[in-house]
Formats: sequence, structure tokens, C-alpha cells
Amino acid sequence: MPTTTMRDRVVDAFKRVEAGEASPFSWDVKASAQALREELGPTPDDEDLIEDAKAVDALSGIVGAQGREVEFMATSSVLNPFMLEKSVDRSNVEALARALWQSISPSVDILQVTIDVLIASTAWSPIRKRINWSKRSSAPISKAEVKKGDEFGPKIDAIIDELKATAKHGEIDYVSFIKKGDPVERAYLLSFAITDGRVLLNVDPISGKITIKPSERRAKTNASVVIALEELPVERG
Amino acid sequence: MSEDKAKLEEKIKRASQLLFLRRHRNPGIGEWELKRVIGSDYRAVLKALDEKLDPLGLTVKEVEHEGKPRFLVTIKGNPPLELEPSLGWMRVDSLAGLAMALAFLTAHGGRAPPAEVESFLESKFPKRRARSLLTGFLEEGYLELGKGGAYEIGWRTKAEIDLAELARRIISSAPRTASSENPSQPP
Repeated sequence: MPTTTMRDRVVDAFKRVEAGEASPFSWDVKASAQALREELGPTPDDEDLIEDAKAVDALSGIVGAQGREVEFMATSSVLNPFMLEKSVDRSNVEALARALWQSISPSVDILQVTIDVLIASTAWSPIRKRINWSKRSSAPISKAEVKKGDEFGPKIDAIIDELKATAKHGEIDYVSFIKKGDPVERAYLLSFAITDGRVLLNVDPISGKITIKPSERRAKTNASVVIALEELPVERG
Repeated sequence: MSEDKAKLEEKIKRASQLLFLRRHRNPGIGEWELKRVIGSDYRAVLKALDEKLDPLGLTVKEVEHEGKPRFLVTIKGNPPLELEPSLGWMRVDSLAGLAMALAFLTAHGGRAPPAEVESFLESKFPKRRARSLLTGFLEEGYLELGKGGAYEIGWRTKAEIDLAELARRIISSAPRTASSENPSQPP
């Protein structure tokens, strides 16, 4: 609906300025103040006074926004906003990240250890030990130290063979099976066998018990299987 | 050691614990909590703590958050380049996304409608990534939602980022013409 009075137009302009849709400098404050005075008339009633007060409040909000913008532009020392926006367009992601990195003084704090963090670190520490974190770098992944397939594949085969020998084509309890050795490593290896379809995993919907059994068939497509952390045999305080 | 000095040392210890141990999502501590634990002379205690942190390359900063003073410890100057990939959630695309959002707001006088900022980020990131980056920046305090629903510069940006330096570095590092470098495009 089109606004008709100067009061409405001022209130609408203030809303647009607050929403960032219009610059506070696009509004002629002096001229609109004069127009508001004329619109009020010589004998205003109560409603006129209330509406006028709202418009004056909005106008002062526009003036306040002008002040904040001047202060912001002065402190950020940006001489050419157009050039800044165009420079972002022309830069790639890495250059932008570097520019921010060279302009930031990050805050420093200490994350407190909680029981959840402790449980997580206990569960994953055997895997963490196998990764040489000290050699982490921004080098491409191909140059990083990763386990070769010829070391990893036989381990998966061995755990499947062990499962076949133990289960003898029947189902066995998942938790007690992985507890027979390093539980995290065994769970990790089994997850690949399950994803590959060489081990079938079943979760009883009522008891929540997880069972596994070997399968001769491989899955046609790969699908990740999620096992809740609570199911891992981690001692909780 | 005089009684006053011992008392000050004790207060410095308490202040450093309050500032360094993060109890909430965001770093730092509000004025009211410092007043409650340290006392009305908390500013003198923070000044003394700042002097102790200076040789370690750290500093205590004050910033306005929701109309009230908030204090946090930051690195003095910029972090070393070797730390670049390990700043928590700040991956390369997060850093670039924040640089873009802040540059856009800076160029628009400090505030802009969310849709425009999102659209600007979409020039280099997929739509969903752009949206999730902006949500993260809001949650971390790098951006704020103003009363009228516009994105504004957040309290944490004011504490941690030198916007003039950011603008200068973006302008000086950008290639002169769009054709001289291929910006990263969303996959």
C-alpha cells in the first residue's frame, strides 16, 4: 500500500535503513523535518501528536544511523567501497583467507575438559596414536602419510576370517567380538567389512543388541553404517 | 610482599582464570561477572594482567557486546602463518567466507540485508555452504543481526579483526583484472 503522509514515509524510510536496504544518507533529514512541522499544523489533536512523535523518533533514528555510518567508515578507513567489493570479486578463496589471516588477532582461551571429551579421547586414542600428528602440514593429501592398501586389506581379511571361525555362519554379539582385542581398531576394521557387505550387522530394535555375522556376498553399492558411540565398550566414570 | 601486592596478585590469578577458561559458547567474560568475582577495581586488575601477558604476545581487549562491556584475551598482532590450518573451525573456506562477508559489510557502511550478503558469498561458495558459513559467523559473534534484521559487524570481529587492514590486504592482493586470475568457483 503506498504511503501518503510524510510521517508514514519517514517511518518507512527508517525501517528500510535499519534493515540495511537503504543508506541513511539517501534521506533528506532537513527537508523532511520541515515537512513534518508543516504537516502537524497549528492545532494538532492527540492522535496527530502521537503520530508526529513516532515520525520524529524515526527521523532521529535515521540521523543516528548516519552518525554510526560516518564513524564506521572513519574507523575502517575504507576510501573506496566499490573497489573493495570488486577486489573481492577478483580474488580467489585462498587469497581472501590469507588476507583475513593477516588481519586477525584471534581470541585465546582454554577449553575445559568435560566427561564427554574424556570419553571421546579415550575411545579414539588408539587410532590417534597411529597417526603421526606432528607431521601434519598443509601439504596435499597425496604427500601425507597414509596407510597403504596392502597393509590395511589383509587386516580386514583377517578379522573376517576370525569372525567366520567364531560365528560359524551364525550371529554373534558385536560388542563381545570387538572386545577380544583392541576394541577401537577392531570396530574400525569391521566398519569397512560391514560397508563392503562382507559382514552383516543387525540391531535388535527392542533390546538394542548389536549382532554381526559373516556374509559371502559383497554389497552392490557402498553405504556407510553408523554405530552410536554409546555402543562402544568404553568404561564410563 | 605487602598485603596489598599479595591481594593484587591473587586477583590477577582469578582474572586470568575467568578470561582463559571458556564456560560458554563464546570466549571472554562480561563486566558484571568480573565485578562480582574481582570487585570494583577490576579494571586495574585487568591492566596489571595485560602487562603480565604482554611478554607472551597476548593482550586483554574490551569490546561492547549487547550494549555492555565484554573482555577477552587475544593474540597481539597476527598469528604465525604456520598455525594457519589449525584455528578450530577456521578452515580456509571459513576464513575466506568471513573475509567476504566483512568486506561486503564494510563496503556498505557496516550493515546489509542477509539476502545480499548470502548472494555475495554464493559467487564463490555453493548456496548451502554460504548459508552455513553465515550461520556459523552469527553464532560465533563475528556477525550480528541488527534490530531491523540486517547483518552487522559482530562484537567478536570488533575485538579480533582489523577491518582497515583486511580491506587494504584484499585490495592490494587482488589481481588488476578479472581475467588475470581465475577465482575459485563452487563445484
